[in-house]
Amino acid sequence: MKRLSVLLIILYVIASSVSSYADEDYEYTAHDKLARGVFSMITFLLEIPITMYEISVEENPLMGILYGFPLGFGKGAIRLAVGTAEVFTTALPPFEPILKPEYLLFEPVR
Amino acid sequence: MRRLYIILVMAVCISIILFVVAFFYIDTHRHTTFFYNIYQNQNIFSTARLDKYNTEDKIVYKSETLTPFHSVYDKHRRNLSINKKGLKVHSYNKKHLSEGVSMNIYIMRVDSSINFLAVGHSNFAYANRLPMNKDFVVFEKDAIISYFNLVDKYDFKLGGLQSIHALTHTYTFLPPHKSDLEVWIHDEEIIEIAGKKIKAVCLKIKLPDKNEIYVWINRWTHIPLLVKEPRSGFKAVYQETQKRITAKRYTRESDEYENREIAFKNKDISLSGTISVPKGEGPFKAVILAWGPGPQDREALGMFTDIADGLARNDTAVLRFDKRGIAKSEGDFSRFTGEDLISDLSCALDFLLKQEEIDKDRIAILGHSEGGYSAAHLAAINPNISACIIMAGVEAVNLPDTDLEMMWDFDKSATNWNEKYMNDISDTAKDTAEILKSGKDWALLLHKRIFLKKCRLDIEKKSSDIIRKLGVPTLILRGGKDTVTLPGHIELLEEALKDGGNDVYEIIYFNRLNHFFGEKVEDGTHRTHLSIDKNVIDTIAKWLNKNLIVAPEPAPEPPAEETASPEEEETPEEGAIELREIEEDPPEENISRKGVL
Repeated sequence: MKRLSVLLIILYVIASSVSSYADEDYEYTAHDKLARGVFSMITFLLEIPITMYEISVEENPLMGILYGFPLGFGKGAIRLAVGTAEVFTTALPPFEPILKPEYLLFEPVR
Repeated sequence: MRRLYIILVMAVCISIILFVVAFFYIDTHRHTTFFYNIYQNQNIFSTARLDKYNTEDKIVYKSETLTPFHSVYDKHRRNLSINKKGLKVHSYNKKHLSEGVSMNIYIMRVDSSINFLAVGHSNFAYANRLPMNKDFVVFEKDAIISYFNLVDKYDFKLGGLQSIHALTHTYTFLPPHKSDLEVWIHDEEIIEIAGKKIKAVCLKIKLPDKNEIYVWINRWTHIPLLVKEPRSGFKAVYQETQKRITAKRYTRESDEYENREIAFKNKDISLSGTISVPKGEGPFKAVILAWGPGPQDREALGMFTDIADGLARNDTAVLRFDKRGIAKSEGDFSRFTGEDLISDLSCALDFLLKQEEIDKDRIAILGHSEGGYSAAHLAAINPNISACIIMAGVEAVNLPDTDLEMMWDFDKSATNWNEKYMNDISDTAKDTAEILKSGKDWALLLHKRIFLKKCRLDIEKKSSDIIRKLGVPTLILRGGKDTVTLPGHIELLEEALKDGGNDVYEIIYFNRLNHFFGEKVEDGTHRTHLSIDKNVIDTIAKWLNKNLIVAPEPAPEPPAEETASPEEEETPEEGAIELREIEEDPPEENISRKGVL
């Protein structure tokens, strides 16, 4: 529990300083942060096929499998951690997203 | 424990299913496909499929054009990657493919410059950081991918005339050419495409050569629907499905001779070809044909088809075969050097020497362009060759290109060259030479493994040394409109022949013909091919009849004055002269001859 708390504090500090992927024309709220966190916690594993797909398209299918899988796995782990942190720190600013894209598979309509 | 395994297996299976479902889902949402038919002068020339992918950071276009009517390549693949931020071109890759052969071009943006790499079979050219300060689109007028890039870049909100900086790659081993395209909205109209009436916007593109291209795009989606270049007859039309088209190979047959499929070996490699043998009683004199650069098969774009046909009708057997690694010949064309080529031709000669219907004392070799060097080389080192014919010189000076389609357009593209482009060419030559300095056979450039040996050997070879050793009767043919080899090249050849003491040579200029001694034929039925001028083949046939004569019975030598024929008496020592024997057929001004007969 102690380790998790430390991890969440670290993530919160990072979240406070990093918000470069935020939509500049939109004012984020705690509601957005919670929705984003929950969605990230549910869909974090999708980072693997998405990363594999993107590398297959940009490079080639072999690279997609060999390089995309571990990279996607790492990105998935980060998304899970960030999503968890966002859920636990919902009420605390900043509310801007840390990861790009905010949501996997779709873009929110604003 | 068993239950745990079952759970694990189930988890893995579910994960795989989820992965596959996720892939399909992602692909459906991020990938769109478009099809086009491409026409040249009213005839369908190729069909194209274009895939557009939306990734997180980039728009990736991939196109595959099937070109059964192309003279050499069956497929052309292009990949264009554009950064979503600012719609800047990130990389461009072009591949021309045919059976076992590929030609690759890579252009990659690096800050405010581009890296260029061309890998054509066993040749290459490389440029590290060519200056490219402006934002650009990649534009090739016959590639549908270019119009997607251009439409993306045109600012419809701003409208009006917009100047868009473009990179165009024309010559395989030369860097892309920079130019400005003028684009504006020309009209709005309803057009009928694939049986549907669609509201379209017509964009007009003005090229640097003043040619104009019209592009009709969907009013709402901005997808190119119709592209037309009236002057060249190029047209691309959007389709809902891809059409399959086929083209016939250009062949020639006659009752006067027989075409036989043959194969011979060079060590472990089997080389396939055709021998055209005249009907009737032999033995016949024979000619081996040696191709110019690039992935050429036994037909050499139709040139050898015509030569074999013409000579076989004139009682000459002709052997032509597929280059190593091309068509039915085995081997790897991507590691092919000049030495291998000579070795293959030498094996072809050994094959001919074993044929009963061939007169072993009357075998000649004919080489076109770079093949002229191979022909001269074999004739210089192998005493079984009795005559040598060099068509269009022995090398392509300043143009190490193998893309013959592009060579035909050489004159037109050359007019657009400016000082900046010449600097880019110079930088490419320097960077390529720098790579070769390592002395290695392989190098890694832009993450691609590149074969260096052929390029290095080509640079080291000195054609004049070989020509000096050429002691057999030699015929040199040159087109007056040849833009590939420089005019002075033939004079150097003549000088080398004289230096070597060869006094049995003839140089003939066909003033109206180009490097290929004929015309490009696009008939809508056959693959694009060349049709060699009949006068050229007749001239070769007559020269062979004169120089490959059956050895006469030994007789006592008469005095020198009595042996001189009237023709020899009239022949001056030097300078261009007209010969009576060909005056009646072609107009006099079209052929001029020079040499010591």
